[in-house]
Amino acid sequence: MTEHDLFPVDDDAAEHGRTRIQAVIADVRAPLALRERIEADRARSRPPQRRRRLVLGGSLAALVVVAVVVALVGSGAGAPGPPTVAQAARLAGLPASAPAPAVDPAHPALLQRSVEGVSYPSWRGEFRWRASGAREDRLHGRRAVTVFYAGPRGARIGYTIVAGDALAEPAGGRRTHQGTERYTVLRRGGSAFVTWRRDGHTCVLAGPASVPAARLLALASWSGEGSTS
Amino acid sequence: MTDGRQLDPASLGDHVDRLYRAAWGLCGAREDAEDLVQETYAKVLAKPRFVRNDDDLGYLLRVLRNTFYSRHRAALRRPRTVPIPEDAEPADTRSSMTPERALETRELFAVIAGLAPDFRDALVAVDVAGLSYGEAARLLGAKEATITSRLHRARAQVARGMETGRPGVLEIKSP
Repeated sequence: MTEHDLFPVDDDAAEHGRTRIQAVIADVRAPLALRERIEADRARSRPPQRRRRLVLGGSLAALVVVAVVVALVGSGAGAPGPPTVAQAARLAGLPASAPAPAVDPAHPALLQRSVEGVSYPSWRGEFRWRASGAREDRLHGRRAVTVFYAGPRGARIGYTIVAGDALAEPAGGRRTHQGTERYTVLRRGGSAFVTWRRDGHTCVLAGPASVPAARLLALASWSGEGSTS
Repeated sequence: MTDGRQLDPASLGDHVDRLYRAAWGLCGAREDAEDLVQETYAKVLAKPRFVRNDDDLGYLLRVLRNTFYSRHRAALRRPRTVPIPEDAEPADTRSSMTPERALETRELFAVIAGLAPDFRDALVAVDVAGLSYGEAARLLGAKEATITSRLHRARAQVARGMETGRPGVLEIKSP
């Protein structure tokens, strides 16, 4: 007689335990203070040589940062214009500043985060890409929210939705269709990003070179049985 | 020559939530979990790390678990102190949870932490940290079938523990 025969487990109890655990931990987030302490440790752990170079080149580095910020968000007074898809794609390379949104229990294919009614997908079940953080930025005065996803091998991608009217479609790139949706795949250096529209809003999915364009396209075009269309 | 890839410190923060949940499941107390997570990150960030077979989360969980067990062994060698009663744990004023939800969460993690170590580790790896069965098996050095069995029993024990208020209570069914 095996241990399982001596102490059989109630399958119903096991399922009850599983659902109870999932329901509770979905709301559990690391406290902001803990995140800040970890971030402070990470900043302190940078090599001393790199810190000295930053100090010596501080004024030059500051000028470069200002130039990048001005280029990214526009001067405001000169020619503000709308943001571009390329500017939205760059947000995927920035660090998260907020916890990952939870999966919507009523719609498991969606996260509990949206921009003007356009929700972010949950790829946890289908692709094993999990939401890992989020950030909110302003591009030329327009709200842009990026949700980050961590892949099964540690890569991180960013899904950005820009509030307001859809951005102009970028020139060049490769266009492909999935049903009625049109996706544009572009390359920047060695990495790729995909842009498309949902409910009149521009969406951009960007990642590092280790995530091929085909993977980004598969993620972007996943419909979740209609829940993200 | 170093094999594998180097961990990117900039992306390690993406896993804080899952590490925190896993730590709470191991420790049973929220503040201990925070300390464990911070100590884990401090160890990982102390020098460049190279990963061969794990993804980032798997590596971090491995360090978290090793740190937990090291602290546990060290604590056993120290003089025992009187633990703070559960109902005296300071309220988490930072949380947006309702008091009822916060209480349920504390109770759940106390039950999980009270499981037998093998059952607890399997449950924390899969249900709390979100690893697949295969990833959990690699992390814990066990066969996938063993993880499946331990997980199944652990879940049942959690369900019983939440009902009875006693962690690790296992119902014995009549043949």
